[in-house]
This record gives sequence, structure tokens and C-alpha cells, in this order.
Amino acid sequence: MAQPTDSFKQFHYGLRPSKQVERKIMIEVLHRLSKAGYDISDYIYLGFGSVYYVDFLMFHKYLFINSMVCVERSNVEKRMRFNKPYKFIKLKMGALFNYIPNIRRTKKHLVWLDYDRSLDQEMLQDIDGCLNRLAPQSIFVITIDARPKLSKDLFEFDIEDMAAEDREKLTVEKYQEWFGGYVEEEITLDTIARKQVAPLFYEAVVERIRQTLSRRSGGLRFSQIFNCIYQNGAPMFTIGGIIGTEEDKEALRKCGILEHKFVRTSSECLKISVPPLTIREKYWLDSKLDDKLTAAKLQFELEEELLDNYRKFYKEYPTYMESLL
Amino acid sequence: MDQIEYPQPAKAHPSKAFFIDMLTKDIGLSDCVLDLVDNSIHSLITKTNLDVSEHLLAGTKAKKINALIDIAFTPSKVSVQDDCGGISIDDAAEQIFLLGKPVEDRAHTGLGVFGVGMKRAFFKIGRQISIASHTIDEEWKIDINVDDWEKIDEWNFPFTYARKKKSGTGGTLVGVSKLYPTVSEHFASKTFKKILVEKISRVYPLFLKAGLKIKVNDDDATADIPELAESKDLRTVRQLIKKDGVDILIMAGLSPAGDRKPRGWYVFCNGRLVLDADKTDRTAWGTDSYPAFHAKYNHFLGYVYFRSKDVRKLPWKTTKDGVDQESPIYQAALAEMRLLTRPVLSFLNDLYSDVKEQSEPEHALFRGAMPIDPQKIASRNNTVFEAKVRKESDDDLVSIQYKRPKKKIKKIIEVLGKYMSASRIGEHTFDWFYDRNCK
Repeated sequence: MAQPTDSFKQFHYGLRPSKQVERKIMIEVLHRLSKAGYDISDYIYLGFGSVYYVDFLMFHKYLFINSMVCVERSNVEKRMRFNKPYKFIKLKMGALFNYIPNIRRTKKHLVWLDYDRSLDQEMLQDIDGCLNRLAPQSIFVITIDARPKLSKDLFEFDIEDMAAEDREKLTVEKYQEWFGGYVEEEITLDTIARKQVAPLFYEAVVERIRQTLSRRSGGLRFSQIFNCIYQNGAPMFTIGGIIGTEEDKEALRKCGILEHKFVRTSSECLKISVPPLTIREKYWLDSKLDDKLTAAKLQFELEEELLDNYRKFYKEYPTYMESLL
Repeated sequence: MDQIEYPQPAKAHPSKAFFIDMLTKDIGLSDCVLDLVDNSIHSLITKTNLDVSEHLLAGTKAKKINALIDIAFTPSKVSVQDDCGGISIDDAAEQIFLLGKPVEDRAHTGLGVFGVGMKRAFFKIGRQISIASHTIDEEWKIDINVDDWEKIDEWNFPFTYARKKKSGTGGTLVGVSKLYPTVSEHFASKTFKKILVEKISRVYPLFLKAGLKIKVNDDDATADIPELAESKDLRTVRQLIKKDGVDILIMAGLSPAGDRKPRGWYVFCNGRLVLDADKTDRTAWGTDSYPAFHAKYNHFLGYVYFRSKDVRKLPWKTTKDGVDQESPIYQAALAEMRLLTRPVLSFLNDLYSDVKEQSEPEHALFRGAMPIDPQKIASRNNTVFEAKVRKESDDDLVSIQYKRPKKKIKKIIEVLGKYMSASRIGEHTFDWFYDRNCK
């Protein structure tokens, strides 16, 4: 059984700029959902907070959610309890599959399964379990590492010890077994030769969601709103949307949310990439930024592409400063 | 284009040969006998309002039933006799013999669904059939010679007699003779009786526990329902779902350590077993990203009880030896079965992990659990599977680190015949020594 990779030991989750941009994008889009009648503040948030609880802090402060469940699989119960920022957050130690049977069918949820490993069979089961239980108009988001990488904890031997060639063969074999039933094209060594396989994972996740919802009664479908990818360190890929009926989808269409610049309703993804900037550069850019600003007009060196990226996400760009507390 | 005029609409009438020879191919002989038993139990349910599933869910005891279904067979004839209330002349004339059930009974949690079982059963068994029944105030009999009936156009069976007659109880006797040679061979076999008794014991445990007696050539069937294993730290999942007029009760956990039979899922409709120790995709094994059945899951034991007075909503098949997988009710149950049992499978994965030392706490928990009748779990409030494993704390463990030549490691891998990392080899060889010399 796959164990968490404990990536929180390597990064402080609040300090990954692309991740922070992603969180802010989610908040911005979820706010807009109020136009379609969604009152997100009444939702239950279910997520993997890790010892930093960044998503919990932000969703409480900016989405005003007061009912939250944090699932944590790593063996760090004391740290989790010590760091829990609010009393109302319910901490559930153990794997997500132990918690899924407790999801109340009648309560709307915002679920963000923010994994730090690549797609595997267990995640597909998590998706199936959640989508079977979540009430209509719940929001389901999943983030996965987009690299074709087998989690080493799935095997009794250390796959890092294997020759690269053998490991690739094993990956293809496992991917065929896990995803073969969900994707159209055959999975080969070429498929996994790419640095990232977000399109493969996208297809598998979307098909898993479709199969689960199509067998639930009530004409439920998945109205995708998020599809983004970012890279700082590992390329991370996110897909999210609303579980609802055809009428719910129509309501989304009518309120214009599907045209929002950060919303993606198809396999084409939003690339989140923000340049590392000094605080002085950021403020200068903010004060001058419009559609006409080009790299040539800047007082410092920044590639045109990076400028464009900044222009897209300037509002969500995080600023970090050291502080003595 | 010239229009061709047909004098009459295209013909679509049924053929007797289809009912006598073809439909009977879909079902085995023992299942046919069970169809006759279903028929008797259905009478009992409609006469007494018996609802074994309701009692199961409520944890109450059904009023003790005093009824007997007596099956007797020889190589030349078979009979099923019951005292389950009998069939009225009206019902015999208007309903019982229709091939296919047009009237929907929504008043009882019965076993009669399609109106095909009894007829298919006697056509399958032989060519001379007699059905006699009496209620407390009338009696009737119908004899069917299949050879003669096949030749005539009428789709009915004349009464041999039908009259008023007072009687203390009601009952029905179905008898078939002029058996088909293959049927006769089965009835002559020494094992058929044993197989039938065992099957009846598994298919009708709730009815048998409620007091119904079923005899096969004088041997009694006794309720056979596998037990679950529980302790205060090992709890079975129990969920009751109500959907579209159907109650779905799901229970799952482990069979006791001493139970050597590979288990799986047991699925019941209105108290009658339709899937027996299932380990196939019919109960989600190996589908939807869930694991296929494997020897390490032998102790997995799950129950699903469907209950409804609207019997057509239940996921039966006409042969009652499987489920209608497309049925929305069954799909809803499957989705729950999958998500509720992941913790059970995860526990079994840990229990039979390759690293033996690590799974010792799981084994201790499993061995310490006691057998419990699933009926005791059925009436609880909804709970999820819980296995409180007491893992050794790091304080009880010591790490060992040492160096050995790569060549020797390679040699060990060769001897083991499977790949292991160097650290696993260290653990494996340590365990090997300990098991042989220190236990």
C-alpha cells in the first residue's frame, strides 16, 4: 500500500509560489460561484492539510469555511495536533479510504485531494469512493505529480535500485494494468519517456470520474472548472470541478463562470508559471502593468514569456519576507 | 414502388417447444429443485406475511414458523410437498400457471418474481407432472402429460378436480415422473442428496433459523451462514442504505482465523441467497481499479441483503443464481461495497505482508477475534470497519547496520529466486535465523 512521501519534510507548503498561485486561483474562482447560487462558506472542506495547514488557513480566511476535516496518513499525530490552527478542524489520522465511508451524503463538500505522488490505482479508488459519496453541487479537486513515476512504497523492493530500463518496463506494465481500462491509446515506453504525462493522467482521472458518476442515479455529471499544471521542482497537475446535474451545468454557463480566465473546461490546461522576482521588481511591475507593457520597456532583464506569465498571475503572486516573530 | 399487401400482421406467438426444451437449458437441476422450494416459501410468505429480512435488520425474532417442505426423489420420480398454506382455486386458474407474471405483487417480500421458476422446473425434470394443492376450504389438482400438451394449440392446463373441502392446514404437492434420462442419473447419484442439502442450507438460512424445516429424502437442512470475526479492537462494517423502496444492508469484515474456507461476498434478495461466496467481478473484484480476488483475501467475508416488497426492484436473475449487474439498485450497492471494504482489504494486505515481522501485531489482533453470528451485527447502527492495530513503538526496535560484499548479496538473491533490496535481505536472513533457533 502506498505511503505518503512526506514531501512536507522537504518544502514549506506556504513557500511554493506556483502552489500559492494555484490556491489563490481556486479561491478566486470559487468566489465567483456565488453568482450561480453556490454558498461555499456553508461547505465542509476535506483536505490533506499536512503540518502547515496552509489550505485550511486560506479557505477559512478567504472562503469563510468553518467546517473542516483534515486527513493525515503520515505517522505524525502529535505534530498534526500541535499545529492545528483552529479548534473546529477535525483531524482524522489514517488513510483517506478509512475516512471516505464517513462522508455524509447529504452535506455539500469542497474536497481537495492534494497528493504528492504520481497517479496510481489507489488514487483512482479514492476518486471512485469520493464521487460515490459526495452530495450534488459538491466540488472535487485532485492534484497529482505529473511525472511517470512509480511510488517506491508500492513494492517490497527498492525500485530506486533497479536499472533505469527495468524500472521503465515495470512502469509501463503497471500503467497498462492501472490505466489501460481508462485511456484510449496504448501505453508504451514512448508514453512514459516524456518528462510529464499530464494528458495520460488527465484522461484516466476524467474517465474514472465519468464512470463513477454515470452509475449514480440522479443524472449527475462532472462539470470541470480547473485543469492546471505548474512546475517548481515537480510538475504538479490539478483537475477539479462540480458534481451536478445538467441544470447545475446550465447555471454555471449562464453566470459566465465558464469563461473566467482561470477556468478550463477541457483537456487544454492552464499553465501556472511565475518568475522569481525581487520585491522591488514586483512592485515596479505592478505599478506599470498593462497589456502594452513589453520586456523592452522594463528597467531590468526579464524574458517576454516570463513577463506574460507575471501579467497573468500578478494578483495571485505571493510575496515572501523574513519576519522575526 | 409497389406496396405489397400482407393479409395479416407478422406472427409473434410463443412456442411450447421453447418453454419445454429451450428455457430449461439456462438452469441446472439443483437450481430447478430450489425453484420449487422458492415456490413453497413464496406461499408461506404470502399466507403469513413472514419477512425474514425485516427481522434481520431490526434484530427481532420472527414468530416461530411451523412449516415443512419435504423433497423426495428416486431415479424415477421427484416430489416437493409443503404445508405452507396452499394455493386457492382462483389463483391456480388465473395466475400460478401463467408463463410469465403479469400481476405485480407489492404487498410481500416474496420470492416469486418472474412467474417462470416452477413451470421451468417441472418441464426441465420430466414429462409427467402433477400439481395438487389444498387450502383450508378447497382443493384442486392438475395433471400434465407434456407429450399430449405439446401437440395441442391451447395454452392452458385443465383441472383434474377442483372442489370445496375443509382442511386443518393448506399445502401443495408437486410431483414429476417420466424423468429425462440425465435427470434420472443425477437422482441416482449418491452425492446429489448431499449437494442439495448443503445448497439448501446455504440458500435459505434465515428461513431455516425462523423455524421452517426443509427435508431432502428425510435429511434436514440446517442454516449454514459463515461467521464473522470480531473483538473490541476489530469491528465489522455495517451500513444500511434505503434507495428507491429497497433496503440494502451491507456487512463486511473477516472470517475467523480458524475458518479455512475461502469466503467472498454472500448476496441475498428478500432472505434468499443469490450469490454464494462470490469472488468475481459480479461483486466488484478486479473492476473499477479494485483488486481481483487473491488467496490473501480468503478471510474477506461480506454480506449484502436486499429487501423490498416491490420484488421487481431487486437485482434478481430469473435463475436466482446471480445478480442483474445493470440494475441501478445493484450499482448503488456495488459502489458502497467498494468504498466500505477498502479498509478490510488494506488490513488483509498488511496481515499477509511480505515483511513478516511487521505484520505480527495484525496477526495478534486477528487471532484474538472471536466468531460472531452476522445476525448480531445486522441490527446495529451503521459503523465502519475498524482494526486497532497496536504497532510496536520505535522504542522497542533496534536498527542494525552492517556491510557485506556485493557478490554475496547477489548470490543470496540468486538463491532466493526473487529480487530483494540489500536491507530486505538483512531483515530476511535475520528472521530466518530467529524462526529456526529462537522460537
